[in-house]
Amino acid sequence: VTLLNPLGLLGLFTLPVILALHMLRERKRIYSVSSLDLWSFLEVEVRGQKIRRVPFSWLLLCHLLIALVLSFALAQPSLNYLIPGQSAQHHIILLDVSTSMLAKDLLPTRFSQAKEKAVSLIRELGPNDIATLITFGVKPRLIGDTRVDNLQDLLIKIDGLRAGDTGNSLQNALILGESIADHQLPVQVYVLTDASFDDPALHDSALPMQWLVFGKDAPNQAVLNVQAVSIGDGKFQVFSNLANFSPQGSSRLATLIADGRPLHSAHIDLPPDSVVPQVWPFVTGNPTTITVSLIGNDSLSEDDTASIAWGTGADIRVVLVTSEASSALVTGQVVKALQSIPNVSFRQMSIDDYSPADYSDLSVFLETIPSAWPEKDVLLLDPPSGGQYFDIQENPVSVTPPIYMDESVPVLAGVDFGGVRWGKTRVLQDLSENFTVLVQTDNVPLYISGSNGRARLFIFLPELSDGNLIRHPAFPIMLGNQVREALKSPFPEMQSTGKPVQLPAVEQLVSLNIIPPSGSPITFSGSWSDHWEFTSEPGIYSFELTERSGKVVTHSIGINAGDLSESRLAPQDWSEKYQRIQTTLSNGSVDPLNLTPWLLALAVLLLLLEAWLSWR
Amino acid sequence: MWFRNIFPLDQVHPRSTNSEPVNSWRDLLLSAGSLRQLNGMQLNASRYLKGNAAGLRYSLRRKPAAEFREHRMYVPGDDIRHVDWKASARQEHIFIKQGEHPKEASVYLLLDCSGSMAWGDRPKLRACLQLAAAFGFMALANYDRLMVVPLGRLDLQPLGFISGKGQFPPLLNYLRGLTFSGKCDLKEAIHDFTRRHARGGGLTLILSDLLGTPHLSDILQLLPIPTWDVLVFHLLHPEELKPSLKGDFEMVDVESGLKANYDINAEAIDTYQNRIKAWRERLELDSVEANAFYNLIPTDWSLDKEVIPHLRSVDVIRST
Repeated sequence: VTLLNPLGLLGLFTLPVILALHMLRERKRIYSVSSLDLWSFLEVEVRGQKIRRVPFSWLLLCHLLIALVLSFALAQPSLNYLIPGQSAQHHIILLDVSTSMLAKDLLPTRFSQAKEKAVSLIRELGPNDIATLITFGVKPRLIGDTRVDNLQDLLIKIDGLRAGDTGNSLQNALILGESIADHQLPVQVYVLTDASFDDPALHDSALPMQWLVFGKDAPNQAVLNVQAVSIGDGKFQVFSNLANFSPQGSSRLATLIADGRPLHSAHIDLPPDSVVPQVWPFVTGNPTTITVSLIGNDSLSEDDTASIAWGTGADIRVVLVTSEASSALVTGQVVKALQSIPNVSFRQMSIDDYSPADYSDLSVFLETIPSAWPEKDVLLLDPPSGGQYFDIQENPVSVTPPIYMDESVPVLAGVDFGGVRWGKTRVLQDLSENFTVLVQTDNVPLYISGSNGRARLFIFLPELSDGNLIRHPAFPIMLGNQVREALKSPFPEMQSTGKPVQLPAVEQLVSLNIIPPSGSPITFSGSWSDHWEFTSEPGIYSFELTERSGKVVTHSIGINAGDLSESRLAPQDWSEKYQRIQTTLSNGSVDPLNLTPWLLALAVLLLLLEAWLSWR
Repeated sequence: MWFRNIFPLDQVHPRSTNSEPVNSWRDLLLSAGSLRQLNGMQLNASRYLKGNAAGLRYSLRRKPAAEFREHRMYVPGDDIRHVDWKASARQEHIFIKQGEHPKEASVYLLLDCSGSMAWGDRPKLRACLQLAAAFGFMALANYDRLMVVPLGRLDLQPLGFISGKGQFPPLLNYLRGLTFSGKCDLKEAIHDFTRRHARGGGLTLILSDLLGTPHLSDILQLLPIPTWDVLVFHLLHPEELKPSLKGDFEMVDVESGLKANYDINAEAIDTYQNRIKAWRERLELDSVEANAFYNLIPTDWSLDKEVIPHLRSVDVIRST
């Protein structure tokens, strides 16, 4: 029996009071008789000189019982009773797989000890017990359940678990556990965590929870992120944020690495509990990966390195297709603009020589339209009237400012049409819903984008031979944006560990080869899922995409473990709140039975009995 | 309930009855059922009692009558209309036919009007008045001369003599007007009765709880046979016969107001009951020795269902 409000037992002090009142009542009891002579044989008492005995009566017993029952009811007792023959339980183990669990303040790591605990819990299962293991990191994952898996298989799965996720999903893991709990059995939830993340704001679960917290406050330094900004001429400016999660200051040697080559090192003083921005010297040579690494050991080595990767390292293939009608002046200006863009592999051909099978990242059609669209980006400059795809009017119209443009579109980034003397422009009839207007006057669209099949279409309608646009700086900038947009990487430059990487669609590629920082490459041919989830290991991941043209394009991502929530290794204050209310299920018990209503009902019955005794 | 039990408002138990509104049951001293039973019954009095006027009660007195009872020898002066000629022809003497000469009897109802009679949750005076009304009804219905005398209360006048059923309403009014208080010395009260009201003896019914009366012999000497035919009805409350007390009490005498503290336990109750039993046996023995009749009537008895059948069984009353 558990008392939820032990102070209620103070009501037991009423028992001696009731006894005293009854003894007082005894002293005051007066009885009138028809004649004292009838009782004259008795010896007359002298009151106050003898020890009073307890005046036992059913009424006194009733009063004492009422006070006793009400006192226990105030104490709110609950009964954890055993059910004979039913000792099976369902153990739901929620295991934290976040990066902070890799801290080495517990040897070998917090995660290793948590896994050992999970294994011991499963090994201690009774013959009829059920165990379910759920990990929670970026999202909850059901690892195994003894209702489905062999016990040995579950232990093997636990042995193969790796920590390294950024963030936690304890709330969702608990919901998942509740949804698969066998409610026919007593259920006990174990949370194996280091509690070094923000308050998960758990809902009030009906299941008893037992918190097993691993690790204490441990000093740690981390590289939170790296940023690289191109400043032209093949130079990059690199920034990084270094953090010290320790009440003491620290001095760490940091190294800047580009494409695997150490470029710069610096001793960085990190004040207590601080985040220090670091600006590195210029980096040249168009590197594809840049890494900042802290030299030396601390409690968590996984977050001592942060990387960023961009570009493919390959030239951007651009083909310019012209017709016989194309103006030589205009063609020359376009060629000049395209060739000025770095890392561009430029080709020029006539429309008669063009075939959509000729693979290019960007196909520019000047005053002509192909019979079939290529698979990738297409830019139509000064398209001719008619055509099988668009209804472009025969007669151009004059462009009348003002000009409106959507500056948020990447192809218009940095483009300023101020000073442009516009001439005439083609007019596109019946603009399809698939197209978006990027630049327009009050009534005429000038630059639109859309898609047709696998091709992304950009159509620039103004006549380039009229006006001064091709001689204006806005024109090469616009073309440069267009080229960069053509080879925009489908992958981010960097992201946190544990978060899945979105893979490109199968239709565009023949095969996919993923090269993690360590371990063997994983190759997919023909089909693969939308996401790649195994990113718990920090470092640079390479994704080799084999296109239908046979060209192999390699993209890289910096997967970084450094994070404000993971690199701070101290258990957060909220964990104490949950640990205070943790409940443990006793062996073979079911939900505790609240005895208070029963005691109150008994008190009412006793009060009725007392009323009957007093009025009879 | 708690405070009512632990600190009762009325600390005296049982409740005082002097102030009890008893009109509810005094208005119905005799129920219709009781009257039906009593109609056609009479008090069984001794034939030796004197009776002056003619009544319905059998006596030892005979007179020449057509309704034959016995013969006697003719003496000069007898009315020859009563000569039994056929019997005289068969004998050598002349016989006179004699029949019953019914007479009336004087019935005295002596009621103890002391305060102790008003004691109890269902006071003893209730049974006393009901019994008095029943005896009075039977006496009046049989043309006996009835007198009701309140004992121990000089401030109350006796009723009677009255006779005939027509006097029953005045009897009920008188009974309803009686009050019960103070002390009563039974011997002195009966001595006063014999001195002031007794007219040549008769059937005397004493209704009392007899408290303070350890012996009846002194009292019954005042009412000797054959002048007096005495019936003593001892009215005791059930709580007096078998008390349900237990614990310490401050006892208060309802008549005198005297107080005493007693510790009542089971042993005391046993002793009490033995003493009551011995007292009753002594009273009965005194009555037998004085040729009187003693009977205990618990006051919780029902007049219809218990008292009247009991009185018939002990031959106190009989059918006419």
